[in-house]
Amino acid sequence: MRKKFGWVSLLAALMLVLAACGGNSSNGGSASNEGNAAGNAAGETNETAGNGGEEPYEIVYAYPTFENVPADILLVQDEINKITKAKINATVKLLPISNSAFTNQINLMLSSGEKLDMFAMLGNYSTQVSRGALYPIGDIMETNAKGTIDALGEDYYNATKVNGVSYGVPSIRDLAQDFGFVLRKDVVDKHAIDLGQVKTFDDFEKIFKVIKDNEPGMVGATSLANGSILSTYKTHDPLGNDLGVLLNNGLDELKVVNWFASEEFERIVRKLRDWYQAGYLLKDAATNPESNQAVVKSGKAAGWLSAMKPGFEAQESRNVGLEMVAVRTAPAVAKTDTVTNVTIGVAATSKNPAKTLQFLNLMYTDKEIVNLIDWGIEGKHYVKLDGRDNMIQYPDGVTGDNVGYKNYSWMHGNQFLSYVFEGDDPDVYSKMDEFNKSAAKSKALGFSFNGESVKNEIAACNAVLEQYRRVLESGAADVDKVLPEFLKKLEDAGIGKIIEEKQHQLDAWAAANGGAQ
Amino acid sequence: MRLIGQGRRIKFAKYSPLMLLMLPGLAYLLINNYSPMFGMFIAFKNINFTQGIFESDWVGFKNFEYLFKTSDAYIITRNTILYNAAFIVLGTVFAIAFAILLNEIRRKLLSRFYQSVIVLPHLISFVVVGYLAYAAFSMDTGFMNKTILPMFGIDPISWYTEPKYWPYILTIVHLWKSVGFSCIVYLASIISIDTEYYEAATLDGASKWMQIRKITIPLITPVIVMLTLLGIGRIFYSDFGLFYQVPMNTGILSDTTNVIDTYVYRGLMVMGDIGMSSAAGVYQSVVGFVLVLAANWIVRKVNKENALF
Amino acid sequence: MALGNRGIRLLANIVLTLFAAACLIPFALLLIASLSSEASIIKNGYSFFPEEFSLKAYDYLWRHHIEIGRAYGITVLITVIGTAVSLAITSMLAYPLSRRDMPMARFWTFLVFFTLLFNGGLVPTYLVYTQLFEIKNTLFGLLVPGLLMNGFNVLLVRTFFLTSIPPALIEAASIDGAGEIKIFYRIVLPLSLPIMATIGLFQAIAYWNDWFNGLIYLTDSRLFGIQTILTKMIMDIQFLTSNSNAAGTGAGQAAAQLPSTSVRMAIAAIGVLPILIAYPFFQKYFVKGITIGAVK
Repeated sequence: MRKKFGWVSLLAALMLVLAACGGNSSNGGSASNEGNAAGNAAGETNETAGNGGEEPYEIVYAYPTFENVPADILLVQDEINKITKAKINATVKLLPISNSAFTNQINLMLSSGEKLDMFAMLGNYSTQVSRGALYPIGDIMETNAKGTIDALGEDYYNATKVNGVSYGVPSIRDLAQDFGFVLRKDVVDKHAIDLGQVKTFDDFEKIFKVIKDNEPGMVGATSLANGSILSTYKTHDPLGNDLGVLLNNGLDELKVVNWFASEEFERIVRKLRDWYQAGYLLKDAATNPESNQAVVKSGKAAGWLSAMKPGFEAQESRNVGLEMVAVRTAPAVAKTDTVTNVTIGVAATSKNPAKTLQFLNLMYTDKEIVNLIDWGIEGKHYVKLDGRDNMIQYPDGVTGDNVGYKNYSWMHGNQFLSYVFEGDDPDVYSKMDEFNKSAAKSKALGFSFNGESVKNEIAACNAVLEQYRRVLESGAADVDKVLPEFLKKLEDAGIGKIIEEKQHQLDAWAAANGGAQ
Repeated sequence: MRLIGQGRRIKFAKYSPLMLLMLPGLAYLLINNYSPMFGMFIAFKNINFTQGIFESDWVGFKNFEYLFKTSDAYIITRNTILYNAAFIVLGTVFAIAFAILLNEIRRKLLSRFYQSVIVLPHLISFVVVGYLAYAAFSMDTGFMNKTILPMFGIDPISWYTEPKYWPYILTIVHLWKSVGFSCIVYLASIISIDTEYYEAATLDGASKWMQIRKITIPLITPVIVMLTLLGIGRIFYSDFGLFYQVPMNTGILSDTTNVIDTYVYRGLMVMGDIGMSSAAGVYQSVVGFVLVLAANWIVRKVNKENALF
Repeated sequence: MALGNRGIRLLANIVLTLFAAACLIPFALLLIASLSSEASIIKNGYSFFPEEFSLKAYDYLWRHHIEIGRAYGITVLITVIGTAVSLAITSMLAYPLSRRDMPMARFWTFLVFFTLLFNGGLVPTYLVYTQLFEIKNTLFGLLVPGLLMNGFNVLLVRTFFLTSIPPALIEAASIDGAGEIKIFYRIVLPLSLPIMATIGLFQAIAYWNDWFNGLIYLTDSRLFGIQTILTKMIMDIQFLTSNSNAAGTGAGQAAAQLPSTSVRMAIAAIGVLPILIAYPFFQKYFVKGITIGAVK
């Protein structure tokens, strides 16, 4: 017994020593953080006053990618740096990180103090804000990035504000969405399907019936890989996490309800169940691991329900490899989530937020920078089409597979400044602009929910959603049996508490912002 | 006095080469395992990056709440423990059985063939196994529904929406994947058993079965005990790939496929809360630790030699 | 039930054949899937007799052969070095622990064992490795974290030493004047070939299959190993589509360009091949009959 006690205390002593060491370095770390914050406040005014022969500041910009690091990324970076050195005395390091590892990497980099100045976010903007991961750029926006505010427009800029301050800027692309069904054109033509007849969600079955009767082996609609048929087709404003939403895309009143307990949801899943049993949907809808494009391409399904934008048909035709045509059943609407879906922010741990913001500003105002980031170097990675100044294609001998640089124009700043790739509508950006401006706006546009106080309930509710949502939305479940189970479990998990909190915050936001628009 | 002092010095001199041997290993453990342990405090904080992890607020046990407060808490704990218990028992029995059988194969080439093949499943990642399982159980095109069940005149089953089949499916998949591997461990032990024992026993007229019971098993007991103790220590951990990928992350099967690790992952995937996921890790570690100490104490009562420490 | 020698051998052959078949068949399916056309996989599922054969998956691999070849090379390099170093460190630590006369042996053993139960978590581990040791985006990031040695192997080897190396042997050698270290590598190690081969195999497999270190400690995809590439491909689709907010954007379009199912199967197939080739090399040491008696 004594012997045992002996070495247990030895172990404890060892761990205490280590903790103390860890504590020391942490003190050093946090002290330097505070020092930097102070230094930044002072530094801001200095930076804007001119270069004065200082060392250019290196900005590390991390963004998610679905491919490998492009072979020529350093070349492109050099070209960018020529411009940024001259304009804002800074250099940029592009850091593409694999999408599946992205959130983890950002968390790790922020926790460990690794150098990170700005990063893009796909859909988790409000979470990052509540984690304190982002620098409140709203405070220094006017002095460093006025051009960005102008390019975005007041409405959309305000959509990013949390407690009155903005923490990030959405990329300028399709900031609203409309909804409908996209399907193969050859099927439409072959069976003379009159798309004009399809005006509502229920009308889809007109299409499905025709396909079921005439195309053996092909179903009407596929679900999204690892998701459901409704993954992007949303008729409500999710207010950040689908737990407590505004019905009718937030165009009516500011009343937060449980979407899953609503009449509309029940109606939709019953319809889906009917369709499933009629054979209009995939039998494996609840587990389908293939991308919707691959499923349609193989001939197993005719199309899918989706959120859309101008140029959607052309984009999907390219992705599927067959010509696609779409019919829309719900008009365009902008919600906070559609805006902050793709947002770029400055990291809370950045040593020079002002300078970083200045580079961000270039991504919204400088055509050269935008196109370098999006497309690479002219002549090497793309060439302009004859006589068209803003349309491009690959140079001879270069294909999508072997091009040395690839990126996403919808992610980095102002897509409207970007060149249009051959095959897309040359006017697609002006159409998008129109689309954004004319879209209806949810009354909650600009509201971001802070879930900190109910994070346990959110975790529990998410677990319930994981269990039931996909199978209900696939039509494979018996609605009478499963839906009540689902709702009860949500109640137990505390969805009521979340809704209460959300309504509370929404009301406060509405009051502070002069009521609903 | 002088004798003791000298004794100490002699002892040190005698054993210092051995201590030297241990050095690299211990250094690695210090760096890789012990120094990060200080980070367990993260489980007790509400991490805010602007403040930094060291300056974030302490929140006591709040990060642990989501593991206990939900109605799922009972299910995930139950599932975790039951599956692991089954895995430990069945895995050990099958692995030893196969090892003994393998040991009996006379033809060297055949033996090596078997040995190579049974390790194969261990090399395939669970992501791929998930796809292969899908090939078997897919509603539409799966091997079971299209070929096997019709052979017995049974209607197609919607495997991915019926939780009740999965304890069997997952156990079989786990055994398939891991038995080959643990079998090798036992085989290595069995091979090292002095053949003189067997020769003597055969001369005495003992049957094969008796030899197995009286010679083989007792001599590999230390290994069995060690592996079992380790299994108990990890009883709150699950193989994430098995429980997440093989059921193709189908939520409706949660009742029988959700374990602590998958629950934590799913709940936190969107939230990305470091404090909460760290809390889950601490919870699993503490329970495992207590259980192992208890189990080791029991083993020590039975046979002092076999206890781990 | 008296099982004669022949009886048990027959039983052994039957059981093992069945199990071997169960192990081989899915792998065969994997291979065939990689040779099937994408369309036939989606329409008809995975089948031993696909509707349409296609070499497109391997064509894709060939077109990316620089990237894939490089990943392969890295994985091989890391596996070889990692396994060798790991074997050395593990046995060096396990041996003194197995000596009954070693002072404080129980304490050190517990120290090793404790690491199997408690884990600091990803964040502090990452902190230690990237801030203190700066291994991010280096090959050390693939070699060292988590894999170089683990308590499980150490305890396994220790148990083996305890039960198979008689103390009498060691005493005899030391009386003969041999130093500790000499005893270790002249006597103990040669007698331990089966367990060394076992641990060597375990480590080789662990290194070969590891994709986690790559995802965490590397952002430069040129240093990725083959498993990281495969897992990344599959997780990219999964991750995206479970985050439906992002799916509604151009990200959905990017995901559509990810490699198809048959390509993923092909990568999985070539990911398993080298281990199959290396395995017989380890098997040599599972030789029956290395006995203490013979050495005596």
